[in-house]
Amino acid sequence: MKCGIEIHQRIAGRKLFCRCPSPSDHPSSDGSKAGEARFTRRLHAVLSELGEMDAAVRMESIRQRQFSYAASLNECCLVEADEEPPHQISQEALAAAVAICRLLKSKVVDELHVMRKNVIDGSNTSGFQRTALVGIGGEVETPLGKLAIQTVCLEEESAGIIEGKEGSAEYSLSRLGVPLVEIATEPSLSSGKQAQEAAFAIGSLLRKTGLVQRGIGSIRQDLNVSIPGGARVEIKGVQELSMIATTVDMEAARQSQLIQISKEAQKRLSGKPIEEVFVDLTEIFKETSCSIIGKAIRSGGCAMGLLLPKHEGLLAKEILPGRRYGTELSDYAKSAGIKGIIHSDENLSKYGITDDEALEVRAALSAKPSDAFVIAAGERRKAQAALSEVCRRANYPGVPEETRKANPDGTSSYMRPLPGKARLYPETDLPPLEIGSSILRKAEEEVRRMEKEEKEKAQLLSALNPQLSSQVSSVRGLISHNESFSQEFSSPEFSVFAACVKKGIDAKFAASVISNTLQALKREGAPVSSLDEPKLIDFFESFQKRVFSKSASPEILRAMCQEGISASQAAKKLGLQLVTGDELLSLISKEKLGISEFMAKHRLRVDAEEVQKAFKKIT
Amino acid sequence: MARKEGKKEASAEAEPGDKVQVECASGKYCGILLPRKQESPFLALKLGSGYNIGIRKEAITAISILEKASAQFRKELKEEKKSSSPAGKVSLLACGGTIANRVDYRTGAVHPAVSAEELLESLPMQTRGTVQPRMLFSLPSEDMSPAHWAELAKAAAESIKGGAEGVVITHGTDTMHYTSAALSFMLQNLPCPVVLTGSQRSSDRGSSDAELNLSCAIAAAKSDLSGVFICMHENLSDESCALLFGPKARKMHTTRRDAFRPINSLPAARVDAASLSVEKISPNCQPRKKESKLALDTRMNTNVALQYIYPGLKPSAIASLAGYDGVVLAGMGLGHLPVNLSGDKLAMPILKEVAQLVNSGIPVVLASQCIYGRVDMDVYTNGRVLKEAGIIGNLCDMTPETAYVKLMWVLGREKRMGEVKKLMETSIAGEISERSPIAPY
Repeated sequence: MKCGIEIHQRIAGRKLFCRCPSPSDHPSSDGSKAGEARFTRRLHAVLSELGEMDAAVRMESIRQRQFSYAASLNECCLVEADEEPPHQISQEALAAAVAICRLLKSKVVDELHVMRKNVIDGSNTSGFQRTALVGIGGEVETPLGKLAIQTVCLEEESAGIIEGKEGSAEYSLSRLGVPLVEIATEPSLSSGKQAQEAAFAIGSLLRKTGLVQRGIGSIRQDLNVSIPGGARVEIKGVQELSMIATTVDMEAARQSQLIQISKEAQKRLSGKPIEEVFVDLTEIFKETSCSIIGKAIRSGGCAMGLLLPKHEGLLAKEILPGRRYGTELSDYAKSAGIKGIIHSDENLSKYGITDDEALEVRAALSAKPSDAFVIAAGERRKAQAALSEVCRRANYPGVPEETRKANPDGTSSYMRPLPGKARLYPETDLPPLEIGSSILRKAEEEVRRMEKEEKEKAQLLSALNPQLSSQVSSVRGLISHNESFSQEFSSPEFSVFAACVKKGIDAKFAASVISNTLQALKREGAPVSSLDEPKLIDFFESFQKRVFSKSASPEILRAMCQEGISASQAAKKLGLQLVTGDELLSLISKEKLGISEFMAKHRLRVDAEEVQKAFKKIT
Repeated sequence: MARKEGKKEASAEAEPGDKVQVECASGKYCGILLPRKQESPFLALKLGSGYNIGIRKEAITAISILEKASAQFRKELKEEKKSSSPAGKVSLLACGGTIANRVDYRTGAVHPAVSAEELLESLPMQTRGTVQPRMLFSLPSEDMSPAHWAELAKAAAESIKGGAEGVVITHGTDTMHYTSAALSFMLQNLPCPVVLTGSQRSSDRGSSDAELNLSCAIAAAKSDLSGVFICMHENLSDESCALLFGPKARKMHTTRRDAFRPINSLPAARVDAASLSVEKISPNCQPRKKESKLALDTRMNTNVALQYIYPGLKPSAIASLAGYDGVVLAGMGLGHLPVNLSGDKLAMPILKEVAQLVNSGIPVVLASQCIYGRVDMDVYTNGRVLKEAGIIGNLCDMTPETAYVKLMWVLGREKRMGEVKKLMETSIAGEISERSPIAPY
């Protein structure tokens, strides 16, 4: 098996070809409804500069869908609405992409050519996605060894679908134009596990840069899989990193099953291709109780049939759990804009088709018992296009090159033919751009910043006590996130812990406060989440300055979170300022108590160790 | 130096379309050589993946040809498709513009190049069969001049006399409103619609507005109306086109699909993109007049200036207009010019210079740079002195562009100042509205 992965990662900052904010960069504006503009569009198929039409584009153009768009006025301008040409490419995003190339040892091109990648499923108002090749070659370290990188591209994010229907689709334009870096590896991975490791390695490298967006949807993985005798298949939109291995292995299994089925079909047909002959079956189903066909006919459509000679039983062959060869053919039919097909390897009565109707269909198609048939119902043009797709697929020897959509269970469904180079042509609104010294310098600065941060982090981590670290790292969701929360750490709590260690604060005490005291306060109902990293650091620093005692910690923290005051204010307010030095000595001599009585009385205001020493000194 | 020579030779051998291998310090690149301006310091290459990149020529050490270009690529680059269309009822006159654009891979930008026949290729067969295409010019509209308007008017008249049911003119959008105004005056007593259309998004993108605008324009040309119109997107949606009166429209946005707006007028009609039905909106629509005898009058005096008025305009700039036979001023607000009646020391009045032009027999017409609304020289004293100075255009609501075109046309047949004033202030082709409709602007 050969497998390569493509990682799409959103870059932080504004949009790629206009100065609109990226949606996740200003979450506060999501709530405020600044209003939105709505409009509808249709898209046409366009030839590439070499005069070719892409297969994926041809397929979508058959559907002739209408697209409606919602453009949030806060997050979109005329560029997203395709009412203004793109502005110059974001220098910020370009520098980030070049910096990522540097980290991957990828060769940065001399001159950037922004290309248009034809996409007419409505997800781009322009009818294309803008993309540019930034880096060629490179490598990334993975736990399973070095992995070669093919290309690094900078592209714009597509619009987010709100609702997709048969003849129309609705999109939100907020996401459109967010910068994405696309990293494609060489197809040198040979197992699902390797692919998963590689995706993880690239993903964490990208996160470390601090230049990328985080959160749901900010990173996506596409997988390219082929097996000997199979074909290159691209699986898009694997959401869970942990599903990559399963998805890859299932695709390899699917291809091997398809090869078997294809061999069997070839043998049965002895090389004769299936003829693209469609028979109109509308008359037979005039009064059918099959709801799918009946509904199509009543709304002015028809039922068409296609004979698949000697295919009896093949359509029922399972190629993946819950997916049969018939499901594959059905996916092809759906891509022409109909809801699906009915075929003879299914239980036809479950669709409400009677035995008589089935017999009539067999007669109309002159089907022998060893033959299979497929019925498509809907608008005539679409039903025919659907059967044409089924026929094309059934005639395909082996595994066709496809783009497939990842399903949550690790299987995948057909989306469209694999797009090729024919869908790329130059973005004529933007002249080629020299990647000059200012961009290279900016990228270099970013790389240096990252290296410095990495080094600091490594030093810091090496100084941490592993036992205490693991104790703190299990703490989650106590205090609130704050801008200063360093993205390097898994949680703000851990970030506070690391900062304490850096500042020389007793690590054991810090770990105990974070993992015990705060937990206990939360349990008793104190609003611990009103604390954040700066407030906690103030607490630890005050402790270090001997403002209060270790034992007073719960009281101080409780007052801090309940009243929103600083640690020293809390100590003052509660009368828990640490009594120390001469003051302590005079208190001891004044009260004339035994050490245990003294401690019982002044526990919260003194340091136990100091008290012991002081008693020794006096006696 | 010798190596440099050798390199030059190698790159001279490789031609656009050839599959080449380019070697340079950073490595080897294989791909198809793309056309590029000679003086560019970069060589453009289409890689196997379909991506284009630029490679600095200085860094190239060798170029070897892996495969000569296929004949087809050359043909695509050099030739334009020719096809014959059956005779149709609607005449299509192609003038160039974005609607006929094609990518120029030498400069990377778009330029007008598609033939009249190719324009129709995107349309459904039954529509195509009714249209007779003819290529007049292949120009971006900024390069069109009054001489082109006359050629265009003649071609339209020929088509109509030849039995065309209507005329569609594909045109660049930048000066479409000048052309539509000119045709409104040149084509008198039109029996049928003459419809200009164009595109704000070139047809090399999936979202082009060209096809919809063209099919709506063809529908409008077949409709039961007469007159000169502009037919372009009504709003941001691919749902309808607005049909605007030729002298009462203007390009009001650099990039939007709905850049053309009706000025001081309602739209004439709306063309529904799905049904291609034409729904009348303005009560000023003229019906198709089968019996009407078309009068072509292309006489123009092109020695006319259109001058924008702005704060700080030098009086000498107005004096220098003395060589023209007519002047249109795009005045401020209601139609004001700096006249300095208060005698302010810092003001820069031009009243004297304007009066000198008028006194020397040059008609001076006022329009407003507000674009929307009527000129009114009666409201302020500052306006009254202009009226007294003999400036033409009071109470008219023509755009500066329409006033400019009209003055050329008027001066093409009339020299007497009084007659010029009368013609300029009388609506000839619907360019001056009697009523100011309460309409969005």
